[in-house]
Amino acid sequence: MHFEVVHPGSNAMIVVKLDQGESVKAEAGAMVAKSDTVTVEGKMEGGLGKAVKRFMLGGERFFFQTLKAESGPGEVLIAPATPGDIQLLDMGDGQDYFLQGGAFLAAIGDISIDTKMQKLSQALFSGEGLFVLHCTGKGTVAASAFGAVYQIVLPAGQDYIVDNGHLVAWSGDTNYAIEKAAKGWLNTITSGEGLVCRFSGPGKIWLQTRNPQSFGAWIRSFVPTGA
Amino acid sequence: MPAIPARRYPPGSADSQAVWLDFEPGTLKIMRGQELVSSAPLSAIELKLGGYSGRRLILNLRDSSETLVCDDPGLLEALAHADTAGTLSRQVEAARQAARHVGRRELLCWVMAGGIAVLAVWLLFAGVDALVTLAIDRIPASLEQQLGDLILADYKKKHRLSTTSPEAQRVERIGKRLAAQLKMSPYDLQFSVEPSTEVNAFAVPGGNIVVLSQLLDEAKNDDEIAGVLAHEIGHVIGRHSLRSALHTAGIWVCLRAIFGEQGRDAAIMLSNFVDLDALRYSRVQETAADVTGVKLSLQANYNPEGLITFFERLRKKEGSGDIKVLEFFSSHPVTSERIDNIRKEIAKLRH
Repeated sequence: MHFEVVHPGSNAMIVVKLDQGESVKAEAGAMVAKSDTVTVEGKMEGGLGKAVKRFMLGGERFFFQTLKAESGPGEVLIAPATPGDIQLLDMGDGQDYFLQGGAFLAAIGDISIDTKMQKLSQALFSGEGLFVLHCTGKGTVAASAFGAVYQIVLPAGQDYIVDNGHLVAWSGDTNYAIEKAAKGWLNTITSGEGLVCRFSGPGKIWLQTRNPQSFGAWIRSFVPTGA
Repeated sequence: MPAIPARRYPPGSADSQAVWLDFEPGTLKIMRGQELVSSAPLSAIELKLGGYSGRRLILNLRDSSETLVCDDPGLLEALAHADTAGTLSRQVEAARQAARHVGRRELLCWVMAGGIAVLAVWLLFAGVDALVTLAIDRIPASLEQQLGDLILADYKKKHRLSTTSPEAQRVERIGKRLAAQLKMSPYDLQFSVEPSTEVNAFAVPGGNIVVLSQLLDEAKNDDEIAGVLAHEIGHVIGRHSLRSALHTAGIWVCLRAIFGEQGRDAAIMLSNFVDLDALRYSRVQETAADVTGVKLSLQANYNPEGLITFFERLRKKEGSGDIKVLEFFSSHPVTSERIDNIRKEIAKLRH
């Protein structure tokens, strides 16, 4: 069982081939198609408490769907709602990943998805909200992005500054602090970047090349107000 | 001490390997299965807290430029135990303090998040109440009366109301005597009686008060009827049903009332929200209507205790399961606290 990303880029989709008895966990509503050997079941992954936390705090759906090859081997196609690429995160060796709210698309293996509260400064200024998704366990997680995905590799001792609207996922060993984008508040505001996130290695960060909030604001500028 | 799981980042790499950390006095051993990957003297370790949670232990090995990341706080104990020369003791203590600080900060974060949520809910309620008050001021009594007329016309389709029967004339006489005590009231109070086997009375927005005939049969004298009518007049002049309807209609209708043309469109929208069958007043509104009722009864020379004697007689009947009075108590909850408040108000006004 593994994920294969087809049509990588703006119209990416994942294909999962399942042997009989195997299953894939996916965001509710993300299934495109499936073999008739595969059954669909809505599940409150991790029980009611975790489901409510994810739904209320993490910006994710209340239920995940579990697609299981019940009566024979089968195939499932899964795609995100937004145009953009899909990043596969292989999990094992004790490494954990954080996903921005709404980035979870699917998972195979023994993966647990929970919400984690950020530090107050991160919550107030990162633009990611108070809670982010935390993936632990062994397997593969598929994260959806808006636009293409760009990976940043950060060995220990190296830092990188990221505009928070472009964050998709980051490994749990990276450190993360909020700071001004430029020297001095005036420069920070006039540069249009505001506050940014400083990540420190070791670890990896995955960015989306388009910022959904900025795209939404751009669309809104063309919508007639009715005045 | 048992080995502790960790992740090892080779020099210049962002890819981790799962390893186990084992200790000998003064030495850290990095194992992968049974294989020794590398080892380092404890004096070559630089220890700090980090990772996304801020709670992970990060060990930078100065000699080999490797980095180890560990989630298990037990590593501090293991380091302290293996550190026979005491070269790491200061760093271990600093890491313990930093971990406690992170814990306190997380707790503070939860408390603040809870506080913000409570404040937001409180602001929402307080804000809606303030909006309703502003909206009520923008809706003139004439519009409220038109709204009431529409509601009453709808009610009359299914119910027969009389203003000319001897009973209706009795109610009109008592009601007008009470209404005469209102100075500068914008409402033209109208009274009618509906033949019914139920004991009840209600006020329609704008000043129409309807009394069900069984209430007149239950009342022993005019003072008791005056008590009930004065209470209903209290609801009318307090604009209680309009306030309830605005609360039900929500923020949008309130804003239309505040910023719209003389509250007209809001009043039209409100007609969907005033439901006589579902009309329930808040405890505060009932108490306010009681206070107005006592005052009007006294001013019109009725015995204000009439309302109390009427309530108490009905409560006895309710206790015996008399079906005719049950409806009265579902729309007019009478509590001992309310009766006490009425008594206090009477005592206050009489002295």
